[in-house]
Amino acid sequence: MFSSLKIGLLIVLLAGAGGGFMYVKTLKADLATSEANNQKLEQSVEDQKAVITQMKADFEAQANIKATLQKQHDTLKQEFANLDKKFNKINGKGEVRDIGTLANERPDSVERIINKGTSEGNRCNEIAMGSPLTEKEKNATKKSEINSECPSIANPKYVPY
Amino acid sequence: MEQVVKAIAEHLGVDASKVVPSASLVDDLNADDFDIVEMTIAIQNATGVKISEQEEAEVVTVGDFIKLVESKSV
Repeated sequence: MFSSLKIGLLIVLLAGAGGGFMYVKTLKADLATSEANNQKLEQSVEDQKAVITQMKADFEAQANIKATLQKQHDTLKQEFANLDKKFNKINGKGEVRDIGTLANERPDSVERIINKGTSEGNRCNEIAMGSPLTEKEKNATKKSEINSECPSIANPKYVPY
Repeated sequence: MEQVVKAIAEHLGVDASKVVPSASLVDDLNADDFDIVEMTIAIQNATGVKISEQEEAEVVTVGDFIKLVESKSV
């Protein structure tokens, strides 16, 4: 009876040890899985941080592009207004310019001015399509030296009076 | 000369004191190409002197207008 008790106790101990072993093994596996998951999470956090940083940079770049475009828009709007003013200018006596009358009185002069404007407009298109500026265009600072159709892109040193 | 200066000052709406012979019509008085044509007509009407379109094309300064008028008034 005593030996049966010992055997029973031994079985219980072995079962306990086996259960403990399995428990520890499962714990280790769970721990390894947790560590792997943790690493994935940390990597994910790092990736998200990088994405946020990139998004911030993109946002700043977009803001800069928007500001640049707005500035260009304002400049072009002003140039368009200047061109419009060229044909409807009011002189110091309050008289509105009449190109038709001028063309009747001084046809060659008006033709010369229109031809000059056309030539300058064509040059504006060339510059807009990537043609490099000439030294003369780059260094123009006086109103008489500029391309009056598009000074903002043709004459970078020119500051309107 | 006074008639030329007056015509230019009135047309451009600037003070006559700025309309000096050395002043560039475009760079100093902010005229554009059409202003020069209009001023030529105004000067012709004020002085009775005929200025050709070719002569007008070579005008750069106030002094150029004055010289043209004076050379034809004599």
